[in-house]
Amino acid sequence: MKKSVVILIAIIYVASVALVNFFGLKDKQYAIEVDVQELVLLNEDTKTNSQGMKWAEAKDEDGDGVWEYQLEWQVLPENATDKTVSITNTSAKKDVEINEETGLITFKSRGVATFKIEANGSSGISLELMIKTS
Amino acid sequence: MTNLLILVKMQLKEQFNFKRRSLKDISVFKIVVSILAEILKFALVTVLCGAFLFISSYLGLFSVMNTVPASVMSMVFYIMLAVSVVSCTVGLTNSLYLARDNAVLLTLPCTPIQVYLSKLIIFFIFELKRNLSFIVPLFFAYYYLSGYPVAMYFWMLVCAVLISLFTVSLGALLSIPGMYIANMFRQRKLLQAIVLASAVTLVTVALFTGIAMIPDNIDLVATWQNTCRQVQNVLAAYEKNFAVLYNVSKMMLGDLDIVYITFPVGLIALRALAVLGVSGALFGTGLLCVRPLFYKMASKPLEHLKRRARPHKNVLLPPWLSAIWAELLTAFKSPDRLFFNVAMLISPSMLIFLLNKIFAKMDTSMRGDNMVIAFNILVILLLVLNANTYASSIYSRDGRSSYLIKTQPTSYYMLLIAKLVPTTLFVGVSLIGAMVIMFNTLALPTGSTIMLIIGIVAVYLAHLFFCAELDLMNPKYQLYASMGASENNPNEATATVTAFLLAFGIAGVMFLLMTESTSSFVFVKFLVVALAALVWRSTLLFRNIKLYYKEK
Repeated sequence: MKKSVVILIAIIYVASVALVNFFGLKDKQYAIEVDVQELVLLNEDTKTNSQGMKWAEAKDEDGDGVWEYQLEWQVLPENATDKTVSITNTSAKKDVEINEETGLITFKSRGVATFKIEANGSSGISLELMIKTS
Repeated sequence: MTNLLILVKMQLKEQFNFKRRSLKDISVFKIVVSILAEILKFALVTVLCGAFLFISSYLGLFSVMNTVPASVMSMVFYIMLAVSVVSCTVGLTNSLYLARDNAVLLTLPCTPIQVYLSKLIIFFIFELKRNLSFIVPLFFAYYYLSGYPVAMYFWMLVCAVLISLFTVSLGALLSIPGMYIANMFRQRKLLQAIVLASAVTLVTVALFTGIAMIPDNIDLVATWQNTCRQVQNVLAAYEKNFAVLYNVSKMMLGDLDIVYITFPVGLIALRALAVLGVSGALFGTGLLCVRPLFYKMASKPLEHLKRRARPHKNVLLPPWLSAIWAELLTAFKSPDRLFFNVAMLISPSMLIFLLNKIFAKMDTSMRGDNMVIAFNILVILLLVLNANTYASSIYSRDGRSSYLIKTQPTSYYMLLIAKLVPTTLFVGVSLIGAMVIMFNTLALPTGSTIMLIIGIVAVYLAHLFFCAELDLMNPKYQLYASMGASENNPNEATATVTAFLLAFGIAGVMFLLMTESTSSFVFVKFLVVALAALVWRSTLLFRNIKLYYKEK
């Protein structure tokens, strides 16, 4: 093959990548991010104290010295882009386990702890709940 | 001097295929047409280069100032120069030491050095013609877009002469060790095998390295600014790290950063003189080295230098197998044919693999998927159909021995078709490899891929028979009788042009058909038409063989 033919084939090869890139790609649809507007606590056994703080009681149903409380929540709107939450223990009580996926709070000893449930993402929406052992 | 001129005229007449006729027989109209055709070709290349430079400057590819910096032209020039030097070295090695006409030229009443110089002059003329076909139009386009003065256009023609001088001088010097290397290759099969295996390994490693470097989600439009910045960084690095080379190339580009084109005095003249001086030194060195050696190097028949072959029993084969075996042996024993065949064996598969890996990183629409398939077809066809250029001179390459086909006690068909077998085998295997790669990388059903590849094979064979028929009906024995190789075979030009037209035509039609219909019937149509074309061309070839070799 002549040198000029090889060069021409090389040019066509490179041009094919450019042409597919310019004319053959899917139209981009940039996803609109829907922020979390509200976090709603669904637990019905919560009460509000005189300072306006919501609180609930963890129970030791087995009598094994471990108190548990199942958190339930709802993220609104329904089509929010990121519906995950993070649960943080904001009190001094340390022997508390938190399962962020299931919402199960486990107390290893008696006491009171305050929890902050915050929506992940850029909204910053959160709510607080105080849980004490029964 | 007279002898030298006579030698040059003789070889030019052979190369340009001038017919033996007196001036009055040549039509003025034909001369005007041929001159106009050359001017048109020059203008077309200039316009194409200009269009590319204009678009790239408009898009700001090479510079934020929406211009084409001189470093771009410098880089392109040196890439073309490197390629020219390599092809010049190979061409001069063949022409000076391995050409068959040496046996005739060295017996003429002239000195061996006059033969050497005449061949260099011929090569210089062809190299100048090549530079006038591409490098000069490219620079003319650049001058026009950048507003260079008119005098620069004439200066570029002078530079083309200097560049050709440099290339040929360097090629002549490098052809001396080139001849010994070629000789070594011819005699040592193990060395050929080692070099071939190393080249294939290197290409494979480079391919997989390249594939690993392909970024995810290629979108040139979205990342255009980034791409331009990277290109501009490369140009800046070239200007910094290859300052000397860049400076020399300013011979053709002028010193824009000081005064707007200092011509033809000052630094530009100095650079031109430097190039002339270096060319002269290279030429002188080559001449000094060759003077005591040329006669011996050019006259010794190289095929007799091989080591003694071990005698073995002669096995009687059927005539058709014997013919094919002889051609296969020739294909394997000739190093450049072997390298070409191995390149044809691996290049379609590797190039298609790389191309589809790049396409896989793009988020293509349905139109994009069709474009991907069409470009796969285009690239494969361009490669395999251009490989048929060899077939358009396959019978002429026998030169004065071509009549021997008529003396063989067997059918002409077998002998003529046997010559086409070796390259066909290599291309056939490479197409099977390409098919396997297309199975794994393209979003096509299996049946469609098989039909596509069989169709491509049929098109390849049809074009092969067309090229063989070109050579059969219009043989150029004289070209190959004296030179052993020819730059100017019109059959090869026809083969190349038809290869490009077919490849683009088929890829274009397939793209349009796939756009209109999503069914596999498109590939059935392609297969049917390709097979019909194969039957037609093979019928024509066999009919013409029967006619051409008819015994009276």
